[in-house]
Amino acid sequence: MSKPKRILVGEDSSIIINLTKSVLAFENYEMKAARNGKLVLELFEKEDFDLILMDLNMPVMNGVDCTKIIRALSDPKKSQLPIIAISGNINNYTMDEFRKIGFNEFIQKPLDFDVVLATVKKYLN
Amino acid sequence: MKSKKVLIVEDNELNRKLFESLIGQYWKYETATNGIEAIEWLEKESFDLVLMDIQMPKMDGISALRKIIQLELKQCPVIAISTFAEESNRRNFLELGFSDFFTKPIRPKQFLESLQTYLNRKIEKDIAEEAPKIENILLDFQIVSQLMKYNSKEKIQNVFDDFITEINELIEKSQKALNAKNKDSLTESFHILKGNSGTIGANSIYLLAIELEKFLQDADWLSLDDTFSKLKIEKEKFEKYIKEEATFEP
Repeated sequence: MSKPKRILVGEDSSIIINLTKSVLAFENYEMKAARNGKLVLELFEKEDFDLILMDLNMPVMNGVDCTKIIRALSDPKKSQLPIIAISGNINNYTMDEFRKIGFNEFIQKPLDFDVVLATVKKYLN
Repeated sequence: MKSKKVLIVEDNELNRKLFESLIGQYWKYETATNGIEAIEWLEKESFDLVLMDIQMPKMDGISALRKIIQLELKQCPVIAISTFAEESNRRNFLELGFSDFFTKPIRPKQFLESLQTYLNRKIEKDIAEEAPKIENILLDFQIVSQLMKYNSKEKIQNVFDDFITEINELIEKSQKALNAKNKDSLTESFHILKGNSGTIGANSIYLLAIELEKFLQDADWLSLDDTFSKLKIEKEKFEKYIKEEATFEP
């Protein structure tokens, strides 16, 4: 059997972390959470992941700054990983702007977990 | 007689041709290949319906609609067309101000029937009527049952307990920020509140969070105070409901 895919979730709300974890477990994905952009970077440096789900509004370092740093990393295995933005505030960014920042895709909050799962699967299969 | 007129906004030539040939059988139409052209058309002429692709070069459909609303050019329903599960879901498109959301590839018969419903309606319609209809109830069981697909009963119960702990913290923090008129702090708190209440189906709280965001944007402190009091009452109701009444059975 192949190794389960690993997903890093940058999200500061335990509600979303818990729900997302169950949803991802449904497809046997392994999930780790980090509660702000800085913790995402720390975890990302130590461990390998297959995809990142990134909330935009997080304390200490937000998802946009964090994504920009990841995209600038020298290791292509890390810098080119799919990153999916999660946000409740589509009015701040258009889809073009999301892509320019480095996000592959964008999922709007309130989350529809069918959409979350379908989007993640699209990138991992 | 072709009396109604549709604006087709679509960058993909194949799709555009398809829409033109379908719509052209019944109605007049004009065509734009991106958001900028669409706005130019709306500035010149009036339409009965706009069909708007989401992903387009130069200006995408969401930015275009935002601009159309901003310029007060929205005088008819604007329908989003996009690929399935792309970027977002239907509810989000409605929230952005689209009247409806069609997925590509379209089914010609269904497509024409849906357009007909829109075009046969009276045009001078209150824009508010087109606002998304989120039922003003404490807990939306449709959303809960969707969550139950992936989560055990205990897990759902925990999530609701977490939500209550979090909302208590948010209310306390927001109260201080309201007193200090700290806009940034409030923006952040209302944003979290909106995302999380919507995700778990706490509809009445979700609707209040949307109102709070709006009043904050307008710096309407009087309405903010008022709505914030309503939020506190609603939170009490929700907490009581979760603790005493709600059962999560699949």
